[in-house]
Amino acid sequence: MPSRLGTGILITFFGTAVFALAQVPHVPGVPPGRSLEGNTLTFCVDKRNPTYKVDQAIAIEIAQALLLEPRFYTIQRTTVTDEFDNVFLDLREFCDAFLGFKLIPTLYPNWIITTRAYYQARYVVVVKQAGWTSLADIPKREAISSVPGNIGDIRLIQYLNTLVPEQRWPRFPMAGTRAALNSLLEGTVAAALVWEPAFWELRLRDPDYRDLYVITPEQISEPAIGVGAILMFDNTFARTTIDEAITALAEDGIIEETLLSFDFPADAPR
Amino acid sequence: MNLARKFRFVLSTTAVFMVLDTVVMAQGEVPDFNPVTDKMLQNPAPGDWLVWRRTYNAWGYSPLDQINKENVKNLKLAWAWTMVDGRQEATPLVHDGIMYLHNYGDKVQALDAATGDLIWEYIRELPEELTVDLGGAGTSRGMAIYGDNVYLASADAKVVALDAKTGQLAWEQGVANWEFGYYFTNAPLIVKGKVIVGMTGCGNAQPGGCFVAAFDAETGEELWRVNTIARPGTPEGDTWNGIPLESRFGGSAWNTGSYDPELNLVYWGTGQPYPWIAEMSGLSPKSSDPNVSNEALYTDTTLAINPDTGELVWYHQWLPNDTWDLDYAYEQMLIDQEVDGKMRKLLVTVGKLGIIEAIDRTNGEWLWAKETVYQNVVSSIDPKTGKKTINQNSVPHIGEETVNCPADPGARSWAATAYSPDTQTLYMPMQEFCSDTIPNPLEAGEVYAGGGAATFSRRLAPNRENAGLVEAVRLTDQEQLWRHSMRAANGGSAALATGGGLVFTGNLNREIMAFDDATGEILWETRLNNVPNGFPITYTAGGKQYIAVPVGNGSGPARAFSVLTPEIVNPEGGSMLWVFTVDEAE
Repeated sequence: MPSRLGTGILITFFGTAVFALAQVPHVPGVPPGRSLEGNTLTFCVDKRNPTYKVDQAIAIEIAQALLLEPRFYTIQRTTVTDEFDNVFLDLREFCDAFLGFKLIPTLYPNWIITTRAYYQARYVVVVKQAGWTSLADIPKREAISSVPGNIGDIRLIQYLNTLVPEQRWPRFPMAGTRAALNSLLEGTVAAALVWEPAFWELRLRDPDYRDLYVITPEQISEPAIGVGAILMFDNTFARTTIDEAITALAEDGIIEETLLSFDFPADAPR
Repeated sequence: MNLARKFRFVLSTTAVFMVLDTVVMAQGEVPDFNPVTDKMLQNPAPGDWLVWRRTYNAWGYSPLDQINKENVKNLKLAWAWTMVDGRQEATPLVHDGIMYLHNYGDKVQALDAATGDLIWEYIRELPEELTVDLGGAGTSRGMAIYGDNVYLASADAKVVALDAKTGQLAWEQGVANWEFGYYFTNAPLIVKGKVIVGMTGCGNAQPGGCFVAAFDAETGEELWRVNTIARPGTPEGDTWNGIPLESRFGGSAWNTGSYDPELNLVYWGTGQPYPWIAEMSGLSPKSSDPNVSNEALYTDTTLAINPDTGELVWYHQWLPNDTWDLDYAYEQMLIDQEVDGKMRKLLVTVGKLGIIEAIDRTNGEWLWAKETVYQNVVSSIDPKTGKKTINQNSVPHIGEETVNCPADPGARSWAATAYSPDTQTLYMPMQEFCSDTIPNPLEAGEVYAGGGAATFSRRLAPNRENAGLVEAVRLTDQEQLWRHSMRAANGGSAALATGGGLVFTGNLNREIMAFDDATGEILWETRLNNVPNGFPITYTAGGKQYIAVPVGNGSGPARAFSVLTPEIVNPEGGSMLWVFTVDEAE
């Protein structure tokens, strides 16, 4: 049974964090940020993110490890895709940390800092054909769908570029995970490259996706992608403290236990 | 991003909704309103500005000459009007001395154009989410006027008709679902009782791309729709490298087209495929299937459309398989001119590359091109066909850094050029810069798919100290008439040419200038509260000529250009309309 006692001691760090944040100088051109309120730690969650329930469960553990009360601000926006600039306002007005972001180097503007990963997940290839276990099993005339520009897609493009033209699969960009999977169900493609946590969530609520199979070609799936929270650039002490909590929760096996409770396709950080 | 401004906008609009619970504040009524006819649109009164670029031929030219080379030095403030803060790119309309002004967030006002007095105001009740963050939506480059109505293409992807006398809603028609990213930024074009609009925002949530659509001006009924991405099964449908329709994105039609009444053709420009990087969009590498190509029709294309039927009569693609975000979505100028000893009906346009290009507008036949600013994307243009040879070193590739000039905001962007028939010269507000480009992942969280498909590190063009320029090119011989170089980029200020021999345009340094159209000499200039980041117009009210200059920071290009001259710092907010005139005695 994982122990929560060891992580509780982090409250001493967080008390210092509150003090330190009060000392953050005003940066010209940047409106003053929100300050931490009492003994609460507020997280932004976006229900459009297919993993938000898992992220939320881990955030509760983080806050409790710090002996703080977790609070959640749910993003109300409903557009299919969103502008990253909106996160600025969310972090300034509503929350200390925004959950569920892929930790990809060079992706974030300089007003963002990221926590360490609280889990690691993969891009995978999903097929209808039982028995296919690798990319090599997919006939070259068949197409692979993917969501354009995500890290898995970029790995696929880079892999295809290493092949001679006649050995390449056609690649069809699709508008999102659901569209990529639907193109598989409809027979437009023979395989769909998707973010495995997004596939997990769709399969939970839509039986159409349950008879699909996952293969994990190392050219695309490895290395795994870390997922964590993002904060405003001047929240460095809070970030450090949350990182300490994640480390302690991982060492105590609590993150792994949480992931298992959801049967979630990700690994706890090592 | 200017979130302080956004937040103020939220507060102000929320307060209005709470108090009024209505979208119209009808303070008054336009007296003796004279309905706008087709004949007026084809041949507007000299003192009116009825269409986005004043006339169907998109010249951005007014014959007014009360303000001229001799007296422009006496130009002084007549009145000013505070506008809603936000990305400001407006073009006021003026009819019979009444100005119709679009504000950020789809607030429309009717003003006495002589005094600046408010007559009526319409505040569109946008979905709450859009009032929190309008981003590029909420900005409109103008409206249209016809019959008894003023027409607006809205941030929530609707076409809206307002009673021009009162501001009351006449009708509204949903065109697309804003939750999928669709929105309008262009002014509608009215042609023979049809309201024609171009859709934008067709990024990666909208498979199948954008469109140009027409609506009945009386009822709002949709009459036709022309897709800007070719469909499989059509002659041009095999130009998408073999990818299916649901994999094709882009072709935003985000500026207003033009119209030739004699040929009965509407001309509309389109933008590039999405995502910008061709390796991501599926357009590169080229398929080995001999039955398909990868030009990606009808992106970066001029579409010639029959306004009666919506039939696509012909098209001309300017830049196949655009992987740099180098739109050709801008004003389509209609100019009759001699070419090789023969009078031709030209369509002249300039894409982000800054190359002036002319085709025959009767059939799309390519005629000539003229390079202006430094660019390294096109290495040559076939003088007979216009086919461009691409410098492969400028093509972005995943895992590499490449250099492309101009950078993605373009040597020119939506800030329109102007053409004067008096000098037969095209006046172009522009900038010279490059980008060190590295393709990057799009996707931070599952829904935060914005942020660009690449890192664009923008810098001045080689051996340049100045970012901005105004280029004047005589179209009869395609020779440079003059060039005004300036440290500040254009920043989003369109050009206005007048019968007084003047060309007005501005720059990111908050300056608005009047040039001698023949020599480029600056005859008048002043510094404003912010960037003249819109479309200056001229008009008469009470028999007197005025110059109106919309001002306000925050548009995407303005922010992109500001990195070129970090010493130029502009204030937040401060959207204004400045109106200048000269005293009769002067």
